[in-house]
Amino acid sequence: MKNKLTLASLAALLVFVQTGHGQTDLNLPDRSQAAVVKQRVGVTEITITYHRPLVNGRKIWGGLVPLGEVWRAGANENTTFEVSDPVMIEGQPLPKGIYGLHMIPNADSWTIIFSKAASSWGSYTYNQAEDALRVNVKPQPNEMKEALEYQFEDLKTDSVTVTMQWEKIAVPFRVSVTDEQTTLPYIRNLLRGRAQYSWGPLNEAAQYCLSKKIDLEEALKWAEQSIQIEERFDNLSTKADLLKALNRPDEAKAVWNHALEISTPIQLYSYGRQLQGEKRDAEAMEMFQTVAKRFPQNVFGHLSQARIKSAAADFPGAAEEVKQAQAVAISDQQKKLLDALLQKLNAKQDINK
Amino acid sequence: MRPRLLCGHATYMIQIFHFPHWFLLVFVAAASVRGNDAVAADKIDFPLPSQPAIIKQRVGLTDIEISYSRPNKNGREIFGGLLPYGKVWRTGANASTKIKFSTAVKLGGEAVAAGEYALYTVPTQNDWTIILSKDTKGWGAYDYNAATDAVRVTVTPTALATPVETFAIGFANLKDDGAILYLEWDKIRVSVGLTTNTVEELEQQIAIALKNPGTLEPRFYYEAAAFYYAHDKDLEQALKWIDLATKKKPAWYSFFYKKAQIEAKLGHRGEAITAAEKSIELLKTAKQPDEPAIRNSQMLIDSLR
Repeated sequence: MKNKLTLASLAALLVFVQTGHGQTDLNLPDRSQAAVVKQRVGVTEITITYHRPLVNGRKIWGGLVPLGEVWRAGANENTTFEVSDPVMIEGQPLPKGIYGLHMIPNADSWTIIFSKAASSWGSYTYNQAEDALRVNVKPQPNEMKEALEYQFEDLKTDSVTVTMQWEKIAVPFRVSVTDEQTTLPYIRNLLRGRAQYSWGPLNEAAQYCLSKKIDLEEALKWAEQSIQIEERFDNLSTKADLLKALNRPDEAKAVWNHALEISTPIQLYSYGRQLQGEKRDAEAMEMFQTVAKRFPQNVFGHLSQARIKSAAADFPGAAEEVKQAQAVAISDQQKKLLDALLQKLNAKQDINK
Repeated sequence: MRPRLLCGHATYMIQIFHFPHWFLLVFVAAASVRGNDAVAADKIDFPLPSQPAIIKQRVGLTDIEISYSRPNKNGREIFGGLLPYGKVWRTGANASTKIKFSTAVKLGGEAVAAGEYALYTVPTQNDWTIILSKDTKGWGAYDYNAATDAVRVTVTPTALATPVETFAIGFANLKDDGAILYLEWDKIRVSVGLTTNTVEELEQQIAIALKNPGTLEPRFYYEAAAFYYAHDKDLEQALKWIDLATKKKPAWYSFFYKKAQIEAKLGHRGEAITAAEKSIELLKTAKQPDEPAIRNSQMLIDSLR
């Protein structure tokens, strides 16, 4: 809406509100209807609250919305942009908080403004002195969008592209988070609570750092804390992997061997299955070898053998192993599940696929 | 990183054998090999590969809220590949996708009561079935049961020119009594019409208010008239209301502009021009006349001459 027109209708609205008692108006829908889009990125919530004006056959850019002037990037109240952690916008830092989102449209470069004033009507009271951040981005041609729309696109666990889309223009800006500023504080905070007394969360925290190759020394402490609470394959293997990542291979080997020693067949077998899930097939087969060797009479020992043989296309041999697994299986349900594997093998299908 | 054992025991257990998770739950529980209770109690809510999102949209007088998790294409063939045709899809990732309506609505022409539903779809090459299920507790589509269907509608998907990397749900074609709910992923867009009972609700509001006409402000008559005009309701009635409004507030240009629009729609050319001229006259009395508003009135006059 044109500034003047809106000012006029705002003034009219105020008059109506002030004229007092009795029913003044109907509960009519807003012409530009309210919307909220909220996206989690890593452990950070990003929330955009706005109203969606319609094109309605009007010329928007350089018409209804003049070029080179600050615009509320929506309708009615200023659009708000809220982040629950510190983020980077197009590589520039923005502290956590709620901001008034404004934009200055131009032919080939748009300015995105994050204002500390987040509860204004439109851009009328916008004051550059209250800017938290300004970034410049390139607008892109887009398919026609009748109603203005904000979208979160190309979502990663550490970044996302926010696009404002209206008429035939899309204006994208990238929001990214860092583990140092978001996940690690979140984890440390959690581990000050009840979570520090269970092996699970501590191990999970250590694994997260391992996967991201961050904060490995602290992760090692968490793994050790987890082991102190309850020594299990899960946290011992985490510790071994961390030691390896910290370039302490001898200690890693010792911990790993200890992990194998104390583990039950199903723990090792499922670890092999997980490795397969990650397409680390060679390591998976190595694990199945270990299970088969250490627990030759166990259901999971036979199953491991079956997987090794199946991978080598020895389907009759694999089928024989499954039958032996069935012979030592405890429940009918186990037997039934194994039947399905057997059928696959009889059809000469690799059960690892 | 090893796949986490924690982001749902179900996901983890599926990997052991490739079987429905409930089956394995029984199996694994029977063999009592995993004691993850500690973890379940104090789980760290790490980012999942498919991250959660919420969208809220007001349509007319109805609030709609969708919460879902958003998987990425990641170079995979999605429809007919990752998601086989003809199978119920959770229409997102992780837990089933939820949609909540604050009032009764119609989805694809089918009546839906206010409340929360799980949103499922069944993609096939040529058409998509959209399902709202009353059971909102299920994880993914594993627990889906057709007996809990509230509504099923079939729509035709359209092809997208550019593939969409992250699955998205949104609202387009916003009207004051309806919108299009769309799903986009890879090269497919699926749209289904959603209508709200805005018109009936407003008619009720008006009827109730008119029982006590003494308390009504001119603004009320103006809005009632504008609403009738916008929705092509009884225009003679709209005219009566706008005349009441202009009589009570003869200095407000917007009332006369609305009157001009209503007269024009009724085919009363002369009356429409007179009212539009009156609105211009009022606008020009301002210190800083509202030029765009004057232009609107002038355009209406020109179109009638």
